[in-house]
Amino acid sequence: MSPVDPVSRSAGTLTDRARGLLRDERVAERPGWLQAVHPVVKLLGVFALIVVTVTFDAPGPPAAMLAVTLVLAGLSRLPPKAHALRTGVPMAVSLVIVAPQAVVFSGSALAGPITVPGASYVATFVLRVGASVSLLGLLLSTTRFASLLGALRSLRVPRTAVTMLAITYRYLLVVFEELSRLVLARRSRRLRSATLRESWREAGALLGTFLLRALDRGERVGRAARSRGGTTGRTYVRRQAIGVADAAFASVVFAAVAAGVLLT
Amino acid sequence: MHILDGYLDLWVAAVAALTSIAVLAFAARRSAGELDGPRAPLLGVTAAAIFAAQMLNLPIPGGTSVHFVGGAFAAILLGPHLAALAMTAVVAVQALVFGDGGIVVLGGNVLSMAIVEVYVGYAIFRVLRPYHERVAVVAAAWTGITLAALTSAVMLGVSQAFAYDVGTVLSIMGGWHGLLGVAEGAITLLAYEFVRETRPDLVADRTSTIDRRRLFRRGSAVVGGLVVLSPAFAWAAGRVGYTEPLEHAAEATGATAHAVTTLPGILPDYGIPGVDPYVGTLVSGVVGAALVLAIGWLAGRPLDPDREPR
Amino acid sequence: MNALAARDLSFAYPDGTTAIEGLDLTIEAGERVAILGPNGAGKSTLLSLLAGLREPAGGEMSYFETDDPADELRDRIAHCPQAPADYLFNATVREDLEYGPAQLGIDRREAADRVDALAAEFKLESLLEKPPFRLSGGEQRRAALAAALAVEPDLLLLDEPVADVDAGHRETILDALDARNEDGTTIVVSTPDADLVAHVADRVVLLDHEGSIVRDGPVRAVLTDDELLGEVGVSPPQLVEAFQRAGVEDPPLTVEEAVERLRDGSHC
Ligand SMILES: Nc1ncnc2c1ncn2[C@@H]1O[C@H](COP(=O)(O)OP(=O)(O)OP(=O)(O)O)[C@@H](O)[C@H]1O
Ligand SMILES: [Mg+2]
Repeated sequence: MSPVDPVSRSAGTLTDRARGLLRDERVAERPGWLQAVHPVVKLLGVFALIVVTVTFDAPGPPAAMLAVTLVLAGLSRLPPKAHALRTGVPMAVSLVIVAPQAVVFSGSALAGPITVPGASYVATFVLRVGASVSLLGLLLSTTRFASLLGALRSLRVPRTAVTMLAITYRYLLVVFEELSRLVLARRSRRLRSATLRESWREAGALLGTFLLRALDRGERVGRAARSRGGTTGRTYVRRQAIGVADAAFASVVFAAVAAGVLLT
Repeated sequence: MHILDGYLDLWVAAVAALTSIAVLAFAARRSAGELDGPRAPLLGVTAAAIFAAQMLNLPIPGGTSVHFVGGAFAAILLGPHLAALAMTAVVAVQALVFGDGGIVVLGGNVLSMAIVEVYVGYAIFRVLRPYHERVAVVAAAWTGITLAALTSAVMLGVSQAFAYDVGTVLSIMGGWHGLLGVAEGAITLLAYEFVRETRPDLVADRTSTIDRRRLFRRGSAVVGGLVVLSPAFAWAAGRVGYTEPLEHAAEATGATAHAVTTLPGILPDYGIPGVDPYVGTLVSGVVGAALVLAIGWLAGRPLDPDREPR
Repeated sequence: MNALAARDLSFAYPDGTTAIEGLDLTIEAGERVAILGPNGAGKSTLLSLLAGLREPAGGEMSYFETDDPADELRDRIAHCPQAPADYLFNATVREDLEYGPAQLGIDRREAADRVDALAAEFKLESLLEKPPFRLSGGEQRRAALAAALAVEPDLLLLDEPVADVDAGHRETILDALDARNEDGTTIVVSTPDADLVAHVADRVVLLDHEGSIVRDGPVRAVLTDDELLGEVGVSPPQLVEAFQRAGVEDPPLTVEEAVERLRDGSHC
């Protein structure tokens, strides 16, 4: 039962994930600008913005885009720390990955071995990733997953696919909880710290049990769906009116796309 | 292995997305009927469970941990087509709920983690199983994860947005995931053995007779189709890539030639010191050929006989 | 007319467990039937077989004296499984209540009316927008029953419908079932609890450990046969046991009956 036992640490990972999911759901319920935007408009808008962002080839435009997303995050009352982490970590990782290019690109020296084109490439890359991640974060934390699925449905994504995603989401928290329970139950029954070999054996059995249970549950849910008329994916759509928030968001998207196309 | 938005060129993301859609449509058709009945919920719940299972940390010597990916295991349990659909749900929910991996590059992530990993893993499992079951499981998991990583590497490598060239990315990602694949193989084997003991019916050998002529016809059709199509892809890539600004920058500065010499020093964990970029390119050729063969072979596989819903 | 007929039904799980073997059962339209048996007898398995949700290893099912398979009669047959969590797979309770009507193509306004009525009947109004997995066990049970009733079926197959609900809600559920039955709905309920049987059924099908029918008859006859119940491993209703031990023949089955008898003084 050593404190660093990774198998046991999994319970913590699971809890973190669950917490992140619940936080997003709460933020999606707050009154804010993007929350009021129709999910279809928001999905298409964010997609368009990311498409434009990834084609930028100088640091300026993605930096501007990142700034825009931060303003949007503020107006939509996203928790600043969570959003900063969500955006900052991928940026930092990307920085580490492409940092060598600052030296590899030849050109006039900026500082030491770092060249101007090199630094410019690295900055562009990292800002591009940051702006894209921030945009996606905006979409995800201001939209309930059910609304996102509704948007996909309106966009004619096949019904079975949407049903499958809906059920995956619906059972995420359930299986997270089940797996943590299994992990903790095993830990509570263990008398001494496990060797590496034991840990692996245990993890194998744990995974086996867990996945078998999931298959059983899946079949039970499948039977329930069948007894209720199948999974045609039909639902009663609740229409959301298009309003000022949508118009405002659409103009931001339009302006950004136009600027992006004209500038590059 | 999740690729984020901003790493791939648009055309690479688009080609990957179209390929993924085509394969998934094929998978859905091959499992049609199963899918309209109680299968969509089964896949949904299984996908959620695989997602959770991926959070299980496994200790490795040196104090760190790795985690389970599960594509090959899903393929062994569900058959390749259903597994591809379930893994797609995993990858999609990761992107659309947690932001792991982007949405523009979603097709790319699906291609590597839900398609290559699953189909390759399954193919290896089926080929090797008659000779040695345990080896087949380990090899399926190892090859699945390694080839999935190599697929990502190819996509990253050909993207001008990501300045490293194909050879570099292939050798780094291939090397790293080759190591991770050992862990994946081990945990997949342990889980497989557990399932075989408790639910032998689930992993029972359901080999159906193979119609060799059909296999050959299908295989040659697929390979032929790819051969015919490849100039078109190259042409399209050229057209789209032509407008990619970074191409000029990279060419002008010779970035691609230098990248590999600096990187291993900077990222010692990932690098295989001393691997020549051309070896990497060679690997990519071999991988490509293997992929084509695997896909061709799979296209000729008769679908698993349906499992009775329990 | 019979609501369902099972002929020589058998079923084994893939791991080899034989749950049901050679079972014959006919249930008339409008009947109230309880399937009683100990844990592991095969009640849940039988109910899902009767609902046409599992392929039997042998035997046949027919419904309403037609040849239509169950999958074409989903608007007339409802099955509520033992674990309500498996039944409520939508994002909110409201969506779950709407699910059946939506699949069957029922008009949205009609569906909304049904949902409102059911929410009031099962006291779910304040829970409608909640995700089902955040409901308590008893709340899930009520939501699942309401969802099953939303398609207004002619045949209801309910697996332990009042497990884990409190006394007040138990009355709600039993009243709801009675109301449906008065309108002609056939109700089949499975339970390991003999005390419940008299409240939900007029006829009992008693299963033993092997999943075969050991007795099929009127509630009173079966529940007062303490020897048979003991053999199967089901304890008789507490009232029956109490009155029998006190030497009363023909003991009462429900509290109301018992009270009446005690008032009349006819017990001694
Ligand atoms: N998925 C399964 N795989 C294998 N055997 C099973 C499965 N489900 C149930 N069984 C077995 O089938 C038999 C009947 O189970 P069933 O669930 O129908 O019993 P039950 O009468 O509903 O019991 P309970 O009162 O506990 O709900 C039992 O012996 C049980 O162990
Ligand atoms: Mg039961």
